Amino acid sequence: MRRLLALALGLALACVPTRAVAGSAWGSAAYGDPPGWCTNYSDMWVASVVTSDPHVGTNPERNTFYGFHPNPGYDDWYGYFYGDFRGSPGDASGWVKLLHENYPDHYHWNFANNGWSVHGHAKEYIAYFNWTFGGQCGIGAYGNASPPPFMADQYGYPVVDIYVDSRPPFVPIPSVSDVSTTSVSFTWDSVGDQGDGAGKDYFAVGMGHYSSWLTLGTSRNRLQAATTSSPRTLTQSDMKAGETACVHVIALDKLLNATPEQTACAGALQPPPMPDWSALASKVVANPSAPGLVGLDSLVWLSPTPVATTVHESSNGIDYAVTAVPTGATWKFGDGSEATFSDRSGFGKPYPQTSAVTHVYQAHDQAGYRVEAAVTYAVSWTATTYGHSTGPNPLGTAIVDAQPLLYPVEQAQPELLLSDQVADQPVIPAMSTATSGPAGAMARY
Amino acid sequence: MVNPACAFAAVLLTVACAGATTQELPFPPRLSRVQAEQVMLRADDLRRAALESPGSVSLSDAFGGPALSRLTAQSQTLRLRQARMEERTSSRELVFWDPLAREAVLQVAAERRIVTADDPHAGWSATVLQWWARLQRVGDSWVVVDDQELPPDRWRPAPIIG
Repeated sequence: MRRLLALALGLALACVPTRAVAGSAWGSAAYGDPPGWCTNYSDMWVASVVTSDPHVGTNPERNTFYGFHPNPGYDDWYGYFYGDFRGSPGDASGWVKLLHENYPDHYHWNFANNGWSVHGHAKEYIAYFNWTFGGQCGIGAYGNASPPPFMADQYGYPVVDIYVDSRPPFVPIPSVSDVSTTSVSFTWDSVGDQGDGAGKDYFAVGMGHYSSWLTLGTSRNRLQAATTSSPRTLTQSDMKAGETACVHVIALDKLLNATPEQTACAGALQPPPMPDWSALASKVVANPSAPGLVGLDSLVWLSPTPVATTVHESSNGIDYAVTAVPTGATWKFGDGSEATFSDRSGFGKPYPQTSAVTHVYQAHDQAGYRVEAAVTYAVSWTATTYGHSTGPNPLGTAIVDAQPLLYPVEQAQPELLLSDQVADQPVIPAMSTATSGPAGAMARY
Repeated sequence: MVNPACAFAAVLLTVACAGATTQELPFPPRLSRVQAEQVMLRADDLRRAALESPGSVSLSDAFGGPALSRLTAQSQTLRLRQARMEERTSSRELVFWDPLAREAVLQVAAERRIVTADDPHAGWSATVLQWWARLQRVGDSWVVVDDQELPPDRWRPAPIIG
C-alpha cells in the first residue's frame, strides 16, 4: 500500500513540474519579474517587438504616459529594465523613475531619453508608483509605512520583450566557380546572421535572403538580378576577348540589415602565350656518316626523335598546360631538293632501322651539303581553374628547326681498305630560337 | 503546467473507465492550409487597419472572443492617445498551420512606425513578427478567437523558397 502511495505521489509530482526559479510570469522567462511588480487592474498586454532599431521606435509603450488624476494620482512612472539596454549584457536597472506627470498632460518616454540603446534582448516593465491604492497586491498599503507596489500600466503594454538585431549577416565572398573560353560563372558560400548583443541577451533574427546580380564591363545595368534564400550560380555567356563580368552580392537578414555590396570580377579564359619550344630542337644525323657517296642512298633522321611535350605555365592566376605534339617534318637536303612528311615517318629512323627519309646525291661536294629539317608541332592548351579543367584548345602551330648537318659527299672510288676509318662529321650549331608567337599563329624556332 | 504525456494517459484512463457510453461529437468543419492563410491574411489586414486608423474599423468579421476584446481595447487605447501604428512594405506568409488544433502562425515582415500628434514624422523601423492565432468557425465564417505575438524563441521556421 505504501509503495502504491509513493508511486502515485511520484506520478503526481512528475505531472506538475515546478516553475523555474528565474522564470517570468510575463513575457520571456530569461529574467524574473521585478520586485514589487503588481499586475492587478492591468490588462497585461505583453508585446514582443523584433526590430533592427536599437532605439526601438516601435516600442508600443513609449506614448502611454498620462497624468490620469490630480495629485495624488498615477503621476510617477517607473521602469525596470533587463538585458543589454545601456551597453552591457545581463544588465538590470532596478526601478528607475522615468518621469513625473501632471494631470492631464500626456508624456512620452523611450530608450533614447536616457541615452540608452538596445542590443540583443531587453525586457521592459513599466509601472506607476501607486501612493493611493497600495496594498492591491498585498505589499504596502495606503497609510502604512511599508512601500506600495509598482502597479503595472493599466491600459498600455506594461511588459515588452524587445529583440534588436541591428547588425548585418556575415559578409558573403563571391568567387569564380567555373570559366571557359566564352563564359564565366560566379557563386558564393552561404553565410549566417551575425546577430546582436552578447551572452544571454544575444539575439540573431536569422538570415533573410541574398540579393545578387551581374554587370558587364563598366556598365551599371543589372543583369540576372534576383533575390534568393540561398546562394546561386550566375553565368555570363557569349563573352568576348577582354570582356569582364562582375557579380555583386548583398546578404540581408530578416530585418533587412544588409552587408556591404561584395563584388568579384573575371573574364573568360584567354589563351596563354606560346611557350619557347627551341629546347625541343633535334639534330640531323646521316648514314653513312660523312662523307656520303654520290649515287648511293643516304639515310637521315632526327635525334632525338621528336615526342609530345607538355609545359606548365601560370598566367593571370590560372594554371595552363601547353602541349606540343609533333605532326610532321620538312627536309631540305642542300642540293635543292626537299621532302615534306605529314606524319611521324618524317622524323626518320636511326640506322640500321629503315628510315623513310632518304636521299641520293648526284654530285660530289667536298665542303658538304647543308641538310636541314624543321619539325611541325600542333600546340594546344588546357587550363585548370577552380577544380575544373578546360580544354584542350588549339593554340597554333610551332615549327622547330633541327640542328642542321653539313654533309660532304664524295664520288665513290675503288679503294683498298687497310683498316677501319671514320671520317669527321662536321656539325654546325643550332639556329637561334624564335620568339613567342600569338595564339593560333605559326611560330618558328 | 501539466505534462502532456500524463494528461494523455489520464484521458485514456477516463475514456476506458467510461466504457461504451461515449457520445459521438459532430465532426468539426475542416479548413485547408490555403483557406487558413486567407483567413489569417484577412484578419491581419483588419488588425493593421485597426491600429492604423483606431476606432474606424469593424473587427467582428474576422475576430471573436478574447482576440476581439483585446484588439478592440488596443485600438481604443491608441485612439485615446491620438496615436496610430503604421505599416508598409510588408511581406506575409503562413509559416504554420495545424488543421486539428486550428492554430496558425503568420509571419509578417514590414516597416513600422508609431505616429502621434507630437511626432507625425516618426522614422520607420524594420520589424518581423510571428502572429499566432487560433481559428474558430462562427456562423458561416472563420474568425480569430485567440492570438499572440510569438517571442523569437517560439518562432516557427519559415519554409525555404528558391
